[in-house]
Amino acid sequence: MLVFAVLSENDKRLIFALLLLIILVFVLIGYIGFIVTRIMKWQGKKMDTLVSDVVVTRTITKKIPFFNYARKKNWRLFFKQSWVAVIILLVGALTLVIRDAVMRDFSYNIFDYNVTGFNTILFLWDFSGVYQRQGASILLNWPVLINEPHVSPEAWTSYVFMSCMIVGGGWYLIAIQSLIARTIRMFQLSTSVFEKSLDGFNQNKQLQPMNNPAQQNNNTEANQQ
Amino acid sequence: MISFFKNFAKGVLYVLVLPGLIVGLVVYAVVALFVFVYLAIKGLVLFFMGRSLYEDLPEDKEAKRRLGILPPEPVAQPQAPTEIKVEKQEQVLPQQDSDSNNSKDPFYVPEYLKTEEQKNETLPVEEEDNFDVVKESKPEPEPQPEPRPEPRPIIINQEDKKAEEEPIFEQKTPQNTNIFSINDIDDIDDSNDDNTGSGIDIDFN
Repeated sequence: MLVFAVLSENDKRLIFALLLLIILVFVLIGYIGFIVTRIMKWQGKKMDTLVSDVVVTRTITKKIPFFNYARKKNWRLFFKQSWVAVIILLVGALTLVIRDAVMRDFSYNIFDYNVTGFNTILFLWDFSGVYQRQGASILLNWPVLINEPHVSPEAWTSYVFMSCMIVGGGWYLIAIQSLIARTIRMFQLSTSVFEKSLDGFNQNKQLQPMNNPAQQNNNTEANQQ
Repeated sequence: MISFFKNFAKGVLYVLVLPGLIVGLVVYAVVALFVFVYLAIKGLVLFFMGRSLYEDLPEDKEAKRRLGILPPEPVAQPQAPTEIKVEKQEQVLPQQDSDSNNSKDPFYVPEYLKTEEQKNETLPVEEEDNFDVVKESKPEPEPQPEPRPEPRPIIINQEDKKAEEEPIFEQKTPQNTNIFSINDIDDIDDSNDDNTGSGIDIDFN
């Protein structure tokens, strides 16, 4: 409370704004997690399509054979979905390796922002001087812009490599996410499909109409009406 | 407001679990890469064997059979030696010209006793194949033996009775006797001296 009393009004407002921002960030993360969960549930439904024929026709009636069958189908679908992404990643990696081998320069910096890196086409700021403490006061400065986007001919290899890594890597990660979602669904189905539940089953309720003919006749008359 | 705080709580939870999620994702990605390489090699090998990596598993084939998409598997049966028998069907056809088969034909009329109408009767001639014209091949009807009623011989006198008992091809036909069948009864005319009627003369001498 003593520290809070020392702070000026502007500092207090700044702290409240920062706290609100942090709460909003967590809420945003919560929404993103909710969306990701929904997407993964939707991706997991693909497992139902893969195994429905076998389950409906009762070709497989036990948990472990179902698990083995579903695992094979899952990996096959992952291969089908991800082979393009892997080829893109390979193309990017081979571009960089071939360039280094031809130019005999393995010190090529792909993150350089001056001449040879991918960061030449990005805005870059220096955050090192943002926070300064002088005794009991805190000084905040704006970050310094150190690079404006510009295209460098020497950085074409970095452009190709990073583009391939971003596209291929993102595609591959989405395929991995689908794989994980289908695996989770596989575990759920292996339990639910072969589960035998006696909830709501009462043996006496089923036998009662058969034991009492009068009640059975009343039931048939009610059905006819 | 409650949903707002729920989402805030979920966000805090996801931030706390995020490092574990990232580690799990990276581990899964590395394992998946190894499996990818294995499946790629397997796919190449199967490709050169003429098969596909995405071909149906045995469970898929069985499920398709049960759904009726694929035909059922033929049951392997032991092949037993089969004897080919050619059955000759007796074709009972009216023989008008051959005398050798007339012993059993009660309606046989010899050539010299036939009327002009009977002589002029011709059998249906089979058309010659014309290779320029495409004809539809009709299935040949199976020859069915026609049930023939037993003939009732008309016995006029003792000589006819003897002739009826003896086989026809051994009968000696005198020049003046005329053999007639039951179908010619309607043609018999009382006034035989005039040679009217069907032209069949009966000499009772």
